[in-house]
Amino acid sequence: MIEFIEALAAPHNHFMRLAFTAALAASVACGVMGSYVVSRRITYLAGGIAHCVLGGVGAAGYLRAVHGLSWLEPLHGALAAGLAAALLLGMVSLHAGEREDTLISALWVLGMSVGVLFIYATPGYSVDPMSYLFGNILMLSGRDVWLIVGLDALVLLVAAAFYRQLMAICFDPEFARIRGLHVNFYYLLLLCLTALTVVSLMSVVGIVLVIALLALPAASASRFSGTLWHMMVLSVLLCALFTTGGLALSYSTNLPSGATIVALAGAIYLLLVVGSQVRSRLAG
Amino acid sequence: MSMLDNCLIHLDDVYFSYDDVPVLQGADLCVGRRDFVSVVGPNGGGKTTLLKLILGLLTPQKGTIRVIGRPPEQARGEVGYVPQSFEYDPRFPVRVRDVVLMGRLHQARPFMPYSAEDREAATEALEQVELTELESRPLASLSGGQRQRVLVARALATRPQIMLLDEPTAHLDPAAEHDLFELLSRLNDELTIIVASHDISFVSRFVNKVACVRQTIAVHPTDSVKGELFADLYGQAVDLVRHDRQYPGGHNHD
Repeated sequence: MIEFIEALAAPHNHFMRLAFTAALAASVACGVMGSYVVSRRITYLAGGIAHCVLGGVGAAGYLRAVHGLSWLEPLHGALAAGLAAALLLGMVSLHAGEREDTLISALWVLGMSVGVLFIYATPGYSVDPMSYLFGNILMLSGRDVWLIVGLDALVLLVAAAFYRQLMAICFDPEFARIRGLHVNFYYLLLLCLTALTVVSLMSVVGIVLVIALLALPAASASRFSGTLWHMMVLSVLLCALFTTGGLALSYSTNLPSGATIVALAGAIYLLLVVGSQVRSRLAG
Repeated sequence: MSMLDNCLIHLDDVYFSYDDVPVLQGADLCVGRRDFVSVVGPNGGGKTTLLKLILGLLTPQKGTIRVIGRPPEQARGEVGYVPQSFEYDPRFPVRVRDVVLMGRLHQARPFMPYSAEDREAATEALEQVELTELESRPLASLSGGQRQRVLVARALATRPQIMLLDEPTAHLDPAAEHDLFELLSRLNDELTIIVASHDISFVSRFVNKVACVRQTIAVHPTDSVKGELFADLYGQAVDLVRHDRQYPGGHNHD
């Protein structure tokens, strides 16, 4: 731990400080959006959106290389695919009824496969899909960090503006509809914000880690929270703890940072679940 | 047509089916002001469908529905709704008072806090269901009966003329069930109440009409001799509901 702090302070370790800042900034968006995603029980849907993003990344790279669209970056493709997936999966979940999970699975694997096929077909575009799955938090630019800070601002603005509306559609969408709320609009807004969170964090920490950071801190926080607001604050703090703790752990053990962060978050969540089971057994 | 003017809720020859499964076929219903109606019938027989039609969440394929003289979607502001208890997540992190304030959602504006009027309506609703002292507790920490009363308070906070409750006692023990109906009886002094219920013998002590739903709707009064047995829709003997005489606004089986 001490060597990690020393590494942060070292003048030549600019990448380490960027990674640390990005981890803290990412925690804000992940904690707030994660609280909505977990309490609305759509972590699976968020996972579907995240994997569809890979299709957009692959397609953008292919178009850029084959059709000479030099202005087109992977981020543009990711953004388009993420928002399209959010709207498509949202419509599916609103209208498909009991087939919802099957359709989401289909779009999940389809988006991902399309991405891999595009990457394979792109001449001279030798990107390892693994780097999108787990990311590389140690290879960030200042622009990446500003992108996350911008996302934080947007997420906090929307969450503050529509706190009660979003809470109501997560708690009881049918009642919210009867009270005159445009439930479908807020639901799709929630999914689009989730997509933006996934896209901004994908280049940083990877698709798998984004899902983990959306679900695990919020799920852990929900065990100690009386209100959605508390859950958000606690999720942000837990998320910051998991990411910076995982980063320090990976530095001192020389393990891949993304996977270490996910493993730490997952282990603590499972410990909490098992711990509360044991406690209620003992109490009962 | 003078009788129709007395109907706060009026269904006229309503047909509704899910895909190819007919649920209501030529259903008529008239609920008057301050009626306390229990909707009974077999599971899947159309009780919830009837409530959702009155709320305008479903649209009939044929026939008309009027609520306070308006199409159902336009009358929602006057209708308080209590859904079946298992349709929401009891672990959701939310305090009792915040749930009740959801009854004021139609007033919610971006960034703006709830108004003094909204907060007053919530306080009043909590007093009516006698949960004032629990208002800061997380919903998850309440008993099933208390949670059900929170949902009643949420519906009351909209200051409705009509209350619709869908199987409110399905997961309650007999004591909590009794308390809930005592509460509804008191509310009935001012409100028109419709309760979907599978427990016909219990509710008929409190309600003044029983509406039997099985594709059509038959309305029966409950001011009959207690303990008398009559054949009901299920083909079994069920007490306390008369099926043997004409009643204004209703009709007989067979």
